[in-house]
Amino acid sequence: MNRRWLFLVRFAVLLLVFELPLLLDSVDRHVVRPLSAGIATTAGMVLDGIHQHVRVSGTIMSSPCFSVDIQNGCNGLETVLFLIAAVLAFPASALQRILATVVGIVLIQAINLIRVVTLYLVGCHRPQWFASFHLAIWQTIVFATAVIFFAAWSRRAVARA
Amino acid sequence: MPALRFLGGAALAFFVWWTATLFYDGLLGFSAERLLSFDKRLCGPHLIADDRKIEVHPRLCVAPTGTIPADQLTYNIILLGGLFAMRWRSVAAFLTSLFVVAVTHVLSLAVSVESAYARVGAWSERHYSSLEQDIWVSTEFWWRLVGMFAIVFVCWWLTQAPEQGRRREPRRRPASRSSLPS
Repeated sequence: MNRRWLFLVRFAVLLLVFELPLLLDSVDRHVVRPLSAGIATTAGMVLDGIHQHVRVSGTIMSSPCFSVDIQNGCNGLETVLFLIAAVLAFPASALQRILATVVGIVLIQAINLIRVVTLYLVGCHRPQWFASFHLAIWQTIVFATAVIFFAAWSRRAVARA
Repeated sequence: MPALRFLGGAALAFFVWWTATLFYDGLLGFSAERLLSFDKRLCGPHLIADDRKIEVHPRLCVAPTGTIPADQLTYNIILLGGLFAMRWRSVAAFLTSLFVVAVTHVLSLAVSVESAYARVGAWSERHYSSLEQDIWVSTEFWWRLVGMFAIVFVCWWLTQAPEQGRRREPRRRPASRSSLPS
């Protein structure tokens, strides 16, 4: 089998293996929701830092101006799993994969945090733009970050090999 | 430069997606309607593009009407545009990828309609088993969160230059060096 197709088969299998548990209630309760709550708390601290006084309760950030609930799909977890599946499917050394995974997680979560903060500000000041920013713009940016990071990393991994 | 090219391509694709949605949704509705007519529970649904949504109107028997936010199923072309602008292979590769993504748009609209009808209360309980409900809802959920981007990534990856995804051959040493005595 061509190496490229082999990569895609591995990638598809790993993606399925990583994403399927997210459908389970127990995983949602013990992993997904705490992660979303952590992002809400961090975003709330960032917003407080720029004098947007929001109250955080679980996964909800609220203020008289606007409220945001960080649900599944808004916490960057799916994108992180997508990236990890791609990194693990690609032929590289264990060290390269570990480094790529760690850097990728930090990068995607940082971008996602900017996304959450920006979405709150857009919702507060330009609510008519919220729907477009929420999906078409920010979801694309978050996934593009993962794809571009992977493309750059895989080139380097190939070059080093 | 690659980042700028990505932004330019994504901005252009965003413009096309934003302006062509109504026309494109009409095409999507027309195609998905043929597919959904095989499911008799949906009573021969008529799919009508309205603003940035598609409305589902059953024609042949009594069933609920539905509304699908169709533009949320198609915005992955923004990522496709950005990636191809960043690293261009050929017009044929781009058009093939566009075609594959468009086919997935029709399929995802059909899945979204099934998913919507699988969770409308008592009507769904009568027409869908609980396993069917779970499968349609989970498939739609997964597709909208990950699958629609994964298919773009796969198309782009498959059409990249040959050295991508393959280890490079080791470089040969120049003849002058290899001829030196050790």
